Amino acid sequence: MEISTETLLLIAPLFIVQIILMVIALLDLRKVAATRGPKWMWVLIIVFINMVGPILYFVIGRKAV
Amino acid sequence: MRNYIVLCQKEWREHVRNYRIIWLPLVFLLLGMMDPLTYYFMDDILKSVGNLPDGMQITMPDVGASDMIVSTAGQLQSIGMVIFIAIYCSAISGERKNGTATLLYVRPVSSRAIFLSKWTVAAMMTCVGVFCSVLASSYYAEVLYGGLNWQDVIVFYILYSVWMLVVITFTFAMSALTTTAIAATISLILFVIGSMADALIGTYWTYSPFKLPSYAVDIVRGAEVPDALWMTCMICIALILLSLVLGIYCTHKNRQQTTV
Repeated sequence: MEISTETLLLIAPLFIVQIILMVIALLDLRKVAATRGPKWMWVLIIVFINMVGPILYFVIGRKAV
Repeated sequence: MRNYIVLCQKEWREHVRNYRIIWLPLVFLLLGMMDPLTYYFMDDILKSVGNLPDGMQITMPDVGASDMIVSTAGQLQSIGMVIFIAIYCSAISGERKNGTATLLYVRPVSSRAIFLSKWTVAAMMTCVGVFCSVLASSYYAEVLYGGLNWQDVIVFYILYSVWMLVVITFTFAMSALTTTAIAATISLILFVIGSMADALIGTYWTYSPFKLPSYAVDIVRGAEVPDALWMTCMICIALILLSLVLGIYCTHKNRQQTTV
């Protein structure tokens, strides 16, 4: 399947938003004192589960300080 | 009033520090983008991952721009609502549990200011979140399909925000009333299961607050505005006010019962 530039431009925002989310989640993970479950597990979840990973981390992963 | 503003700033700072100010809009942008893109590229997606036998014909339903908003409303109604409830169920009970609330209780700050400052910032975030979703969805709908009635989309956004505010405010009141876990459970059961139940058996019950999202969707679809819309809106606003009063009362009660 060929991907035209037009298609790429259409889906680019999706990837950009995803990457920003991932970076923010990782930054936050580095800063936060304690998470539910081990930190390395959350790193894996954030990096490897597309889209849902960072959301999961933010919603259930962080312990309320 | 001054206390209220200072507490709002404190609340705002908390949102900035835990990056909620960035990730919440982004997540809702994603929610909004997903559906129009998935629909638009459905053909290609099926071709590349579907593993369909040769010569198989699938007729896609004819979708238009307004259908994208409708399906995004569905996303908001499930995932969006759960996210909001999950992040705000601990808003008041969490502070009570870890003791920060006591620091506020010993100051001459009214319970009203404590509760309302938290609620104000949360309500703002809610409106921003829903706005991001609707914006992303309608942008893609317009680009990919075209012919969107923006006026209807704005009305949809306003109505949907009111509905989300009902959810948030109730969650806040529950958070002030009980512990985090119970608040989350009650809100989730009431709103997620409640909406489903209302969709299943509530056909003849035109005035239920659960109907507001579906009325909003009706407007975007271009169907005639239901007569019960205004009454439902009023009920929703009344519910918001009621939850606010309950929340403030419970914050006040907590304050009296706390032992330093």
